Amino acid sequence: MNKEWALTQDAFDRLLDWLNADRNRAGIRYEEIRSRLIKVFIGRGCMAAEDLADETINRVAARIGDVARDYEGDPASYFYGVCQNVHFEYVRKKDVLDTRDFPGSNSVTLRTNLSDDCEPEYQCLERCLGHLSNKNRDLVLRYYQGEKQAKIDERKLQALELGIAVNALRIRAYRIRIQLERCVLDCLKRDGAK
Amino acid sequence: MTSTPEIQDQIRRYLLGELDDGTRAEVEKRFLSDGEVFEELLVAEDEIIDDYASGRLDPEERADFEAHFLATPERQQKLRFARALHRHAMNLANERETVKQPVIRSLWFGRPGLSWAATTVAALALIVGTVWFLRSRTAPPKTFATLTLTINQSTRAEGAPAAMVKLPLAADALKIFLRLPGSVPPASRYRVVLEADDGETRPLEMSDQDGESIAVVIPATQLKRGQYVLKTFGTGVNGVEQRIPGNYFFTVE
Repeated sequence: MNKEWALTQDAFDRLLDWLNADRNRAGIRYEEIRSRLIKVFIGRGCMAAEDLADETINRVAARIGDVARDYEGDPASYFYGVCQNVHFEYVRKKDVLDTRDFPGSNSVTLRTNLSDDCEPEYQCLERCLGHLSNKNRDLVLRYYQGEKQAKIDERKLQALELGIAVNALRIRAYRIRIQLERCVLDCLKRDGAK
Repeated sequence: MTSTPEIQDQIRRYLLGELDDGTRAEVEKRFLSDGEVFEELLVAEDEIIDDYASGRLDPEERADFEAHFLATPERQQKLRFARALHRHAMNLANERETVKQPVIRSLWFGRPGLSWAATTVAALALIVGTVWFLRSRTAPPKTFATLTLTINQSTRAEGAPAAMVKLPLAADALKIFLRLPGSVPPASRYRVVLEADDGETRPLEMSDQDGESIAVVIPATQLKRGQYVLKTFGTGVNGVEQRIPGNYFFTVE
């Protein structure tokens, strides 16, 4: 595969056609596959997960003529196969530079310590909570309150009051949390840019 | 939602890096092809971060989490967000407790006809409150900030790297996991001494112990800014206590 190959508009259009005949649905599917590939690479500890996901997509697009003609089945599975190859090459290159496993390294501890400081996130979170609707703010704050058994009991009660299953509440709280997380990230970027 | 306890367990083990290559590949394929399973991954990711942030992972899971899960900047950022959310939820709970007091006052003064009953209730409340206060002074902490330290054979003067803890702590106590050096035979009992930079020393309460690490707890109220060293002692099966060579360093800022 020519790694200097760049994604052309024609290849991209054909890739979308392969994903779905309806262009809107194809666009959605493309974004789904890309975000999931990113998660897979993150799950494997890759630092440049977005770049690797894009490299995977580029490689599929580069072969799209053959793939669209010969491949049968869920396109996601094909992307996964290519993603395995991209990851294999990434690991081979990274092994040369990897310093994480040096004997006596204190890097795990240091990484964790970096995470102890959440003051900027806290300041941004306070602002971002103000952007949520009252209903969503109440839901998410109540969901994350309490400890251990008290928290479990509170969530059961909360789900009961909303007339939904606990798992549905879990997903609802997660979706609000994601909004908050994005807002906090934007806020941190803005504050960092000042 | 197609999520089942089995899928949830598998995803949790995936996130902690506990799956073999074959099972991991199967799980990853499902992330790509099944939207609901992928969403379950995202939810589980946040839940495992919350568990870590509030000290609910056992030592083995903690080690997996730190070695595997926290490997990327994205997840480190998610952990900082989780800590902020946890801190906010705790502050809110404390505020709500404080707001309840004026309500009780208005009940007391607004109904003179109920003064006898109110007096009885107040006396009972006083007794219950006193008991609660006395118990709460010795009650174990419920939330923990956590720190994992590896032993260092050098001294601070030689430039040994120190882990950092920032005040105020967004938890009742700091739980410190001390990884035991593999070169030392396991002991049946351990003792940990905290030494501050002003020379003050005191024993620490042990909270957990397994073959690979021991954990000690320092209540947030007892944490002061400064540099600290932890020294560990192990008692072998022969009943003889020996100092484990090396120190664990951390700094409170």
